Amino acid sequence: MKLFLFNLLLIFNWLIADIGHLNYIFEGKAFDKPIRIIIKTPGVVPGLADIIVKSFDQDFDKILVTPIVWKEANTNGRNSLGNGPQGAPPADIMIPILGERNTSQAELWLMDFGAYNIQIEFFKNNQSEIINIPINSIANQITPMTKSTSVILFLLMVLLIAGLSNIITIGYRESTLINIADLDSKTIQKSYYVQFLSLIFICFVLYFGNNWWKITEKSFMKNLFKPLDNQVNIINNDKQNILQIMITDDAWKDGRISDFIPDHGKIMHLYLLNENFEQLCHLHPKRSSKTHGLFEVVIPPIEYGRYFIYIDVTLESGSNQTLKNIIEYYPKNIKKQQDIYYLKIDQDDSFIKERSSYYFKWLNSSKTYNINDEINLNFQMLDTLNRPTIIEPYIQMGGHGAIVDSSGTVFIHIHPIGTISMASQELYDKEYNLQKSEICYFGLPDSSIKDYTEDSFKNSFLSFPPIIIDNPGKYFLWIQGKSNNEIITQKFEFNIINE
Amino acid sequence: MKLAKQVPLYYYLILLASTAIVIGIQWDISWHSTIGRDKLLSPPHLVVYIGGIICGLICTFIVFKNTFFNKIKEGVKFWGFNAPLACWICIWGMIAMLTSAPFDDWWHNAYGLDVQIISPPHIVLAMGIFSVILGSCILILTSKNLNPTNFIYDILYVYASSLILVQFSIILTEYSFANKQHSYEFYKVSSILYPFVLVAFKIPSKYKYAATYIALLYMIHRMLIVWILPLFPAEPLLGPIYRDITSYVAPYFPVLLFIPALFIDVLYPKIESLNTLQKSSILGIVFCIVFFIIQWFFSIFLLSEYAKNWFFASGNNIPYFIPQGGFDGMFFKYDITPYGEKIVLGEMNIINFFKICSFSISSIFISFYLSSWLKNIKR
Repeated sequence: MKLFLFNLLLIFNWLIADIGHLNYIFEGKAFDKPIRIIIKTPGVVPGLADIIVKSFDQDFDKILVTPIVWKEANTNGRNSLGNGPQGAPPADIMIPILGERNTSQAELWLMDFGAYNIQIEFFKNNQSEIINIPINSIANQITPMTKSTSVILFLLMVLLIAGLSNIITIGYRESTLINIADLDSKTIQKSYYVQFLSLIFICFVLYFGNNWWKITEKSFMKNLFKPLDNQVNIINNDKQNILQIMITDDAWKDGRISDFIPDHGKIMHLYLLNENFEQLCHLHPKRSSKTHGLFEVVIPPIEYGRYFIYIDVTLESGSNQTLKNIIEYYPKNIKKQQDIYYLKIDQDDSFIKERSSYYFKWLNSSKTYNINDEINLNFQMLDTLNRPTIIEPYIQMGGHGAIVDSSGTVFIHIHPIGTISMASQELYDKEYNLQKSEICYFGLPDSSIKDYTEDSFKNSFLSFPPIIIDNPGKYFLWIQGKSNNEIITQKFEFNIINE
Repeated sequence: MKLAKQVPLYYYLILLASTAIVIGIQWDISWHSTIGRDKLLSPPHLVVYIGGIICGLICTFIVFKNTFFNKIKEGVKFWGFNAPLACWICIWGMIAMLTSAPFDDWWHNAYGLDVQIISPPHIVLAMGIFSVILGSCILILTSKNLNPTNFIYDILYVYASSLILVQFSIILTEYSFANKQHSYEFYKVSSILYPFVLVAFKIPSKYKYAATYIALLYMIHRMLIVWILPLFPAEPLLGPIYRDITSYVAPYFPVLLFIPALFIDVLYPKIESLNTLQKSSILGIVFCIVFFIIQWFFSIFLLSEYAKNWFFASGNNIPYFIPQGGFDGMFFKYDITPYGEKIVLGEMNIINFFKICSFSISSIFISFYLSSWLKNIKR
């Protein structure tokens, strides 16, 4: 069943950076005090995004929000006038939510496909600070009609059909008579035929309309977001089992879709998850020096089995994607290729080990949450004697998290600063600073090397922004952190219910 | 003046409401092209819906008056109620317009905001609006047929007919930009709809030049919109913004329908005695020849520098979301759907010209049957 749903997901390509989850969460600072930004994207284009800003310790005089489209110059033959801040509409003022402390909200239309920078400007004491939040504007679903809307529209349709047929009938029967007494039985008889013919005509119109609707929907489906095509292989060079990921997407190979840029120091973040959700590897494939579209990583010492693959990448355009695939990791599927060189293992690669010196404790956790609940993600790292231990930075972060539902249709990659791509954010920050300084920037963005560990964890504690999950089901959460040079991967379980 | 007073006040009100609906639609299209940000109760939507509701309520009033208070039943019987047929058409239109609102709202959430003018919920709305305007027109026509000596009804009828023509021209917006007026698709849809309205609504009128008047009123209406809307400042509130826009974007300049309409008016008395197919064939071919020649060259003018002024509004009628590119001022060879699909536009050649002639003839043939019914409508 899981595999079926996973494959269904591949067929429909309802994949984005994070899968089955349209919310972007960012936790950072404005005026040196913590703020949280939640952006709920609509899943259609053009569509209305919901932006919520929460500040914990301060009031702002004003908060402005602007959606800025980010495209590579001359993409699809379009000029670049509409891209970047020069093509952005006037900023919206965020409105405080009544009854909620220090919480403001705004709704913004996302009119175009692709990468957007939601620029939020905070004003306080005649000073301002800007935070750029990268999001993807994509169509990834067709919202079904609610039952009440269906019933109302159906009844109105019946009324309109009956009314139209009757109008045509009486129009034929009575409308040209000066005196209604002139109405003869022959005309009345004929009017029944007219009514019958009018119903056939209306049915034909409805049939035509339905076909047209199907064609429109088919065109829309073609526009549903599709992540880059990829193929995976497992090879062995006598010493190592190597996972190869080949990007086979023609648009990417031809350069119509921009290349990847590193996100917090890695060109790819790959999660390998076995079908029983017992093993999770967080790996970082590197680009092959021989083939541009080939990425390779050493498979750690894990058991054989069927594994789901989720690969997070950020593009130069500022958008980010989660690619997905499956491998059957069995000896019979491993090809011997002795000419493959020995691959250096990335020190930041991690997986669940049988024995660990430390573990994470989920603070104030619950086994079950409702779909609208905020799930607090606060953890403490302890040693085997339950003594707190100091957490060290792990890939420029305090920690990493992954949430997957039991059907494999929801995948969320979370960090202490939220679910956004840090590389995209740095790209927009750089663009904003360059705009401000009026320096022309011709180069490509460099790798994301910013250290995001500041304040994201303290001593033995590790905090992620709370998350809201809309889809009921059983969920698995993996938290990763580092202490005394040992990377710990800890699994948790919880349920989302709809009550 | 005495004759004008004989016309019930609500006839003027219903025509005013119909005019508001048509202006509201054009304002809404300009709103989408200029400001972009849309909501259910935006000012243009309010104008359209209030216009529709006024027409519907006036007709509902007539229904109650006729059913419960008039001793002589002047209307047709509909599910136990009695009122002129036109009122039922108007009420049906109002219900269709109100139906389109939740349908369109869901459509936006499912497929995105108004990515194209011609979508299923918009067609339901267009059918509703068409019914309301048609109902208003037929209400006046019914009184005109019953009071042939009151010329006020004739004037009001010609005006109401021109509103129907305006509405058809709005439906054809996506085909009728000057850049598309060398395409087969433009001539195909134009040759079907325009002669249909001109012929069907000309014949019940007592004026010899009724088609020309209808076409002229249509053009004046459209030109006033082209000239007035850009006087109001507005700016895009949605991105990406590809054009520097500071006032409302004008609609496309109307097609020069009064010329083929004049040909119809002059020819019709001469061929009136022929059978319907013969009349349709002559009028259809003449319409196509005249319309094709006029619009072919007029569109070249509209794309030239000479038309970039307030009068013709070329260059001032492109929405903020259309990227500036090499196709400005050029005839399009292909169209791109809102979903990114490329559709090659047909070229006008002799075969396609014969095709549009046959469409036009068929359309006029049907319009004769409609016109003979309109001419005789009494209740």
